[in-house]
Amino acid sequence: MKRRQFLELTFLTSLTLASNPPFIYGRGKRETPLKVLILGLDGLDPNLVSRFIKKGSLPHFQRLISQGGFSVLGTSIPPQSPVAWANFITGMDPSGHGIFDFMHRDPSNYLPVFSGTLSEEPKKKISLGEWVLPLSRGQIKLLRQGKAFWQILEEHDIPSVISRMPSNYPPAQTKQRSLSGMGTPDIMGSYGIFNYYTTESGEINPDIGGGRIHQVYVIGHQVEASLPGPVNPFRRDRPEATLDFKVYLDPVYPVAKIVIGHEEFILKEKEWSGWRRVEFPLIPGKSVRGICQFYLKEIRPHFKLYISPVHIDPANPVLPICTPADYSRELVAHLGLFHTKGLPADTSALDNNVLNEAEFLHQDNGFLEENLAMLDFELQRFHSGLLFFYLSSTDQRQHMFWRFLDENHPAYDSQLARQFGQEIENIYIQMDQLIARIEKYLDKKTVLIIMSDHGFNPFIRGFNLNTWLFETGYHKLRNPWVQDKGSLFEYTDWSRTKAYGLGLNGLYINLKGRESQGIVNPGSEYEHLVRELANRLEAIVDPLTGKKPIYKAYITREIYKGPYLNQAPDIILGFNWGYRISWSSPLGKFPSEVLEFNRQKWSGDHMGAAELIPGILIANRKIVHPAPSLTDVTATIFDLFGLQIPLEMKGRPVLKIS
Amino acid sequence: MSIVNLWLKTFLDILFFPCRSFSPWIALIFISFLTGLFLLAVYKVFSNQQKIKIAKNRIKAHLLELRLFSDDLVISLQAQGQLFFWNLKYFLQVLRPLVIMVIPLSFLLSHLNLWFAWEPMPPGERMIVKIKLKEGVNLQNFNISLESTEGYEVETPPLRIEAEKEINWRIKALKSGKFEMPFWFDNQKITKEIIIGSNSWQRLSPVRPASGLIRELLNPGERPLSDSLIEEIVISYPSRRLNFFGLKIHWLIAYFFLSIITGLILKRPLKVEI
Ligand SMILES: [Zn+2]
Repeated sequence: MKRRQFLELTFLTSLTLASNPPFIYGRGKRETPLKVLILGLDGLDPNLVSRFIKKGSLPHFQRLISQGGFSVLGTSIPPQSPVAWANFITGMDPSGHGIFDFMHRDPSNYLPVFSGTLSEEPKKKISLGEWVLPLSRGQIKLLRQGKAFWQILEEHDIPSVISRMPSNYPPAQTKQRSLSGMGTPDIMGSYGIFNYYTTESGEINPDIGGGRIHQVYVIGHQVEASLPGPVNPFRRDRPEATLDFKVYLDPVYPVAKIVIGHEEFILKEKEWSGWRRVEFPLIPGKSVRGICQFYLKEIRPHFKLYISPVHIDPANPVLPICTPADYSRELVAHLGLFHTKGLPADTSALDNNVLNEAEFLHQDNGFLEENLAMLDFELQRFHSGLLFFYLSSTDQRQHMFWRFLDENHPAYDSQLARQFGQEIENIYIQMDQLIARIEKYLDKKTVLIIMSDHGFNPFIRGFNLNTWLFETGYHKLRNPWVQDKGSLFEYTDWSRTKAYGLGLNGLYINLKGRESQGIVNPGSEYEHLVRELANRLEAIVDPLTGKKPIYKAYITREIYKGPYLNQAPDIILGFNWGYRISWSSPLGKFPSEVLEFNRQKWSGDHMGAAELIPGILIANRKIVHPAPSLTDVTATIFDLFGLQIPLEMKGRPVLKIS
Repeated sequence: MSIVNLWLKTFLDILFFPCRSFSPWIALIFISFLTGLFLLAVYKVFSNQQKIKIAKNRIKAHLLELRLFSDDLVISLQAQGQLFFWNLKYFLQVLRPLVIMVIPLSFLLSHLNLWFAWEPMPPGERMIVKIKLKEGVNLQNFNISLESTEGYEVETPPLRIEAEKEINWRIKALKSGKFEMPFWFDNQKITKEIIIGSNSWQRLSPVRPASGLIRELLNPGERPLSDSLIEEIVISYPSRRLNFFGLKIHWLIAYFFLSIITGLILKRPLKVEI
């Protein structure tokens, strides 16, 4: 079980029943003296940028920095992307925008909930036999609080285009053009589930995160299978909608034809299909449309077919992915189909050996190309105001290829390292070429800002927070002999439990009056417990390395003061270099070891202490502020447009305007 | 059959020649107008206008009767009987011209389909070319190849699908224009027309059929194949939809509406009773 799978468990949307944002036109029209172009490059690391510049690999970065400025950029606590980008969007810290982690918890049942989006089923329904018909609309709500900076720009009639901003699904209400990014689900309502069809029984594994593996058979040079789709909310038993398909294989040549719905296409072995439309029928007259990619991995001796997660079709979005409602359709008309799911790179497929490194890169390069074409398109009509464009490839490549940077990484493989050891540097070089590519759009009045939300560090050792809490007596199990069984706190004895770990950096106290079965009294008992836990966590030493896994245990009441503090974890763990929460702990599991090696391909990460993995700020103007952070960039935007910085925002402007 | 097809094809080629560089709507409005006119003419010649007029008048009269004497059960029952009788008579009068129209109209429709139902494949795009074999032909022993030309590239080896009696290739369009696809089997060459182009409107022939009455009626774009093993050669052109204020509609719907409107407008000046 991976992070993704556990997200899926908690994030079932009622597809097709969501309401779209109203169809309104009339965006900001003001002619601004300065234009602001911001490239958000997720996870771009300042140390690596410096290292590659020294090596001479990033000439355009180098020139830009020499003309303007370069700085590390203070990240959020914790430095997870949804949190960090929400800081930038609102100019506030997590206690102001309410996003503290990828996952929050429901204090009434201790189960994880998705922090960014809430989907609600229609409240009124009627049942007719095995059918269920909704009488009202379902809802998909953005949980991020506070105004987005482009909503404030809109109030001042300043045009902006916000493309693929994380922590903005469904997109914040605006008449300006915006397309949602990280947080946008696939058609299953999940973070992305691929399907893999194989005749090789050794590959069948029912328990993988982010994907499903199906056993198929070749009979008479044909394969018949079906593609799972979203849950059908119109049926009482809520089955998954499915779409049957057929694959015809030539008896001799490595070539096959796939027939699925209205689509019919021929692939040779090792070929990708590009985007194909699929339509899942729900009830007569109502279906859900999506797009996906097919990859014919092998025909013989084994038949192996990969189908990417089914993305929301941007030409017919079944869920709200953009503003105004027809923006994605406009993009399709000019650019063809493109990915819509947040974080499209299929890291699960790579982690589970369904795609190899080369195949993973091929697919992600395609996504990157789609984004660059979209950026080009928007730059061509960028005449005033602000354009923000986000890219995820920098982050995803570092997650998956960090293992080749360090021979001591538990997932290091010398043969693969020879082939793919350059991939992290390559994505930095691709970003360098991006600077060259956009240069022709930069006139004197254009301020270019390149920013990242956090840096990167290796993920070598995983910390089982819940195991540690169990071993130290803060967390009690009803039957300790099943310690390493079960998940989601199945065997927890809440009547004796004082603390639990949930999310990727969070530790919560089982507080009376807040948690449904809380036992810790608010006031001094709580204060003492939090202080005691923070001290003990910071004192832990990894017997294998002699290092402290937790660099800093932030007591949230001490670092945050905003209105949404009551939703925060009580302690946020800031891990040391090389450490991270383990794979199992966020799932409410209790593996036997407190510290374990990470042998996954997912080998780089960014859940450390904010001080250790800052992001980056590069601009074509001088940076005048000595230690800028994400919220300062937000303040800078208002300053560049000559607007008052809103009172609730903490930041100060960092760029010299003239 | 071939003669009729050739004649109709030439007729439409000449008719549509001036419209080629405009939106297909222009040609469609034009041909719908001609069709409406033609239908009225057939109607006038092959129906008994006098009898239709009588039948329609009687229907009107009995409808009036029905309304005036609605509280008199006997009269209204009689009127209903009369109404049914005259409706039947009217229908029989109309039937003859309708039957006569069906034959030329179905020829015309299958030809118009070549013009309005598909779009040529733009350069850079990929499509499937299929050969369908007749029942009983053994696919494994059927040695056939398709050659690339300057207009397109054959990207895959032949994919033989026994269950569908088909051989498929994937081709990639390279250059706009009209090309001949050469298929070789047993040292024999057969060809199929292919048209590549972006945003152009022209006659396309997705299917080259084997000879046969129905097959040729439905696929009149090319001369039928004389070879006896192949049932048809098919190119999967993308289908065309006409843009009607943002609504994508099939040409047949537009065509029928436009023809009927023409008929309704012109029936009075042309003194046709319908
Ligand atoms: Zn990341």
